[in-house]
Amino acid sequence: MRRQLCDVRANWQSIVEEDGLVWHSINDQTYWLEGAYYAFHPHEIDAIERATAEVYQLFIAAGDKLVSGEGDWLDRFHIPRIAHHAIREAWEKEPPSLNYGRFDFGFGEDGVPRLFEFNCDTPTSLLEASVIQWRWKEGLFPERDQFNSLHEKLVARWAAMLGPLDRGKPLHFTHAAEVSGEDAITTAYLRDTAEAAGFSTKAVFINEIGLDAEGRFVDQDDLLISQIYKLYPWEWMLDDNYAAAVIDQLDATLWLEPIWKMLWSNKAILAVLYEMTPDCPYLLPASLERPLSNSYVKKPLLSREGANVSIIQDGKLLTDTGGGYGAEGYVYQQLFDLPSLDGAYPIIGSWIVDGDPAGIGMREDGLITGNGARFLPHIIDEEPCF
Amino acid sequence: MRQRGYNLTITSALASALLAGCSQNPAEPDWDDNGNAYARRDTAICVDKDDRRIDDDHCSRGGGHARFIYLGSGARIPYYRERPPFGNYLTSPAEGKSYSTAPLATNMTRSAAVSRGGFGGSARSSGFFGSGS
Repeated sequence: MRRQLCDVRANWQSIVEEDGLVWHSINDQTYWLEGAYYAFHPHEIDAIERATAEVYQLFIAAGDKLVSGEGDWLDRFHIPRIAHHAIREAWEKEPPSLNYGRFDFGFGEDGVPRLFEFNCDTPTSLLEASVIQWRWKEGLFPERDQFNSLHEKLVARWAAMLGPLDRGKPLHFTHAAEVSGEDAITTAYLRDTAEAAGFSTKAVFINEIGLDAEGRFVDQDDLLISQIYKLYPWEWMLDDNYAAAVIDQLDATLWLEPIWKMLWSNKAILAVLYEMTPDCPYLLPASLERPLSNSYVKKPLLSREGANVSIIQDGKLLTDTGGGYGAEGYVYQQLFDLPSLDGAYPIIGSWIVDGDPAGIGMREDGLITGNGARFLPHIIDEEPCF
Repeated sequence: MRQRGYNLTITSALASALLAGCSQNPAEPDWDDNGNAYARRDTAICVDKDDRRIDDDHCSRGGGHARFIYLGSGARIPYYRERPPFGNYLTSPAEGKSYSTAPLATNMTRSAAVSRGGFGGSARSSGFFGSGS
């Protein structure tokens, strides 16, 4: 993996905006950074692809363990009890699901990806990984390849759900209003992929959703919502006023992603994975009880954008971030020695769609990848690594 | 790994709307005793061929007769299926102005016998970015 400097395209802002990336620059800081890119050797891409597929299988095994009834895992994940039965039932019945997500890996000189976390309930940086970096590559390196089949796999996955879902009814898409436009555009992009597969879609803000007199979910036009994609975390839904209605109406309103994603998106699963397969090369030692060495990362079970994370090295606080998360507890994960390339610390976001590795997106930041992270494109080439 | 042929109709249309200044954060309106809402900011709303208000989604998708019209600050904001006050709007945005989307509380038909707003409370405490991870 190399970090290469390069010239930016003339009018790059207009180019990426045309494809939807309106949050390319935030408060004078560039989020979409195309003055540099990452280059991977094909063997490295093979390693990332293999790790992604194998770690996904570990998550399936962990899900089986969590719903098996042995132990009090759902309580230890701090999942509200109102949702326990629904999660177990959904895991067993497997309602239709896009079943996509982004594994965040560290990647060192040994070429073995190490799992940091799995973002599979409301993953973002999707449009950047799928469309924006591809158009960049086609413009500057048309002869090179990129690990990127995300768009095609998303469309194919929606197409596979044409049967299980009701194409005669609109497929709703919802998100919360926010400043950057990221949620709105990410949701719009997923609508485009669903429509490409043959669905008729409709947008509704999350706080426009209502309940009718019979307790059923309706949209802003009072149309019944029977199937809906949400870019809104399950833990927030179960903390909102409609929590009981969500559980009560699960048979009437199909939510994508399904409620069992609360198992996989909770960082407590990092400890479960390590307990189940401590010799797996892709896993860092992790525990819910205590640090397993004196160099570790303390992460909230539920947090976003790198908030409330602390890095302890040799027993001393190296750096940390603030935020409002951590009430549910923490997981302690062994510190990984992230390589610094040109002073930046890159992490690999490796996408998966229903078990198939689908490409990567690169973000770089300080030691903790947070709100200030930049997204950079990548290519595949044959040059030596590092 | 090769991919071609994106169709980003909705994404591109929404991006254009956002870049044109249609804010995702509409201000709460002023209300009168009859439940009428009045814009605190210049506001863009989507209407059909009869000038009846419809969801913004119809305009974002393009096609048909759906179009945005532009209300000034202080104008009454119609609910769905209602018309804006006659002559009290622009059919294209005034130069140099940016327009908010309509307040969420007006995004319904007045006869709707439903409760709303049971979701979104958690999002209001999040920061610049939204719900993604």
